[in-house]
Amino acid sequence: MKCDILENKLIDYLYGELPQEEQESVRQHIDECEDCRNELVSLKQSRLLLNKLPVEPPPLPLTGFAEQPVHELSIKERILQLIPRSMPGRLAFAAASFLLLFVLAGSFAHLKLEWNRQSFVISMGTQEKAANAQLGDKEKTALINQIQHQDLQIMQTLVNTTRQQDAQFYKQMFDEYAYAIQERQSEQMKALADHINAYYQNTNSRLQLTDKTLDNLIHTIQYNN
Amino acid sequence: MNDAELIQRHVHGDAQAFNFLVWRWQTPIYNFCLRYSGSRDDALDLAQKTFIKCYHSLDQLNNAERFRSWLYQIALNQCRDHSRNRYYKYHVLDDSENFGDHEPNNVREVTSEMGADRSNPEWSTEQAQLQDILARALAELPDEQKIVIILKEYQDLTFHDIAEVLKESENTVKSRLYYGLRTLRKILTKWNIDKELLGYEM
Repeated sequence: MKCDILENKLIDYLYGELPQEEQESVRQHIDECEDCRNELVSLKQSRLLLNKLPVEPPPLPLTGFAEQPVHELSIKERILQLIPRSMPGRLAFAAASFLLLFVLAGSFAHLKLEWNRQSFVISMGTQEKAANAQLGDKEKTALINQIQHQDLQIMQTLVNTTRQQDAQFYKQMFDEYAYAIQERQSEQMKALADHINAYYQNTNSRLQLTDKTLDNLIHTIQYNN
Repeated sequence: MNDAELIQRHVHGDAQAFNFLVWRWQTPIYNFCLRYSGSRDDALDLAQKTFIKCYHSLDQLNNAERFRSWLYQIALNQCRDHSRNRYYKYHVLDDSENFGDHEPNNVREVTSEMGADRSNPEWSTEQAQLQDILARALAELPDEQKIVIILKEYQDLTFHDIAEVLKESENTVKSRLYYGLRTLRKILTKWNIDKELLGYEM
């Protein structure tokens, strides 16, 4: 191109990706410059041609990956996940942090470490307390019931929340499916309508051609007679 | 539900989430492969491979916002590997073939299955012919120009997105597109394509 407008500007303009002011200034230039105008027409024609190729849905749906069982992570793996892969001595670090966690948790739960003559004893403070309290049978049952009741409530809340979230998720997905199907249907209808229209025009022009030929024939016959 | 949320769900073990992701992207990716390879069978194969690759390396994607360009990068790699293998299959093993002028024969080979999908009665022969011609013209373009044209015209990406996929500057992308469109015109003019058949109106 002879003109000083850059090719990239022209491309930007063609696809409407310039800010409005620049778009306007390029348009003004194109109005004045014949070279650029011709170039733009040629580019537009290429684009129009390319757009004649339709978007096709895949002949087979690609979904349907096998559902994999959810892999429960062990504590070791969870700790390993938190540490960057590139870190040297990753395993040792994981082990150390696991031990640290254990000790920390222990200190909160009144962990007691005792060294007997026979064995190394680890006992939790809370258990000891409960055992020392020497509760009666009734009180024990009441305590157990209370704990069970609390557990049940927590479980129910969890289940309900999860259900609600899932329902919401599937509803959204369903809406998207429905929308996409509707869109595809309308596209197909449009294609069909275009096709019928083209067919109709084709038939029409052929009929006109036949009419004309017949006319000519009649004229020729009359003239010859 | 956007892609990032679906990826999040997939990473946390929701098997359905990945299916939704595939369902959402299968048509764009299939069409990208179709325009690149020029064959429906190959495109289906390539799209499938792309999603399998995606499934196995999704946890390596650091920024879920970049999922789209990342997915196109995978598809592009699959397509390039495929065409490279194809090239070796047809040309390196065959000593008699000259490297320089391999294209004209190959173009017909590549695109012969394109165009007329006879199972679809909605398509007229004219349209099938047109598709065949366009697919052949696309196959004649240099690889880098072809990719930019496909991403821009059939995938509707912005120049910024394309630059991200190709890891090139936006200006490079634009100039490839410019020369791509010009080369396309030249090819079609060289073939004496009848303007009426193409039926473009300005």
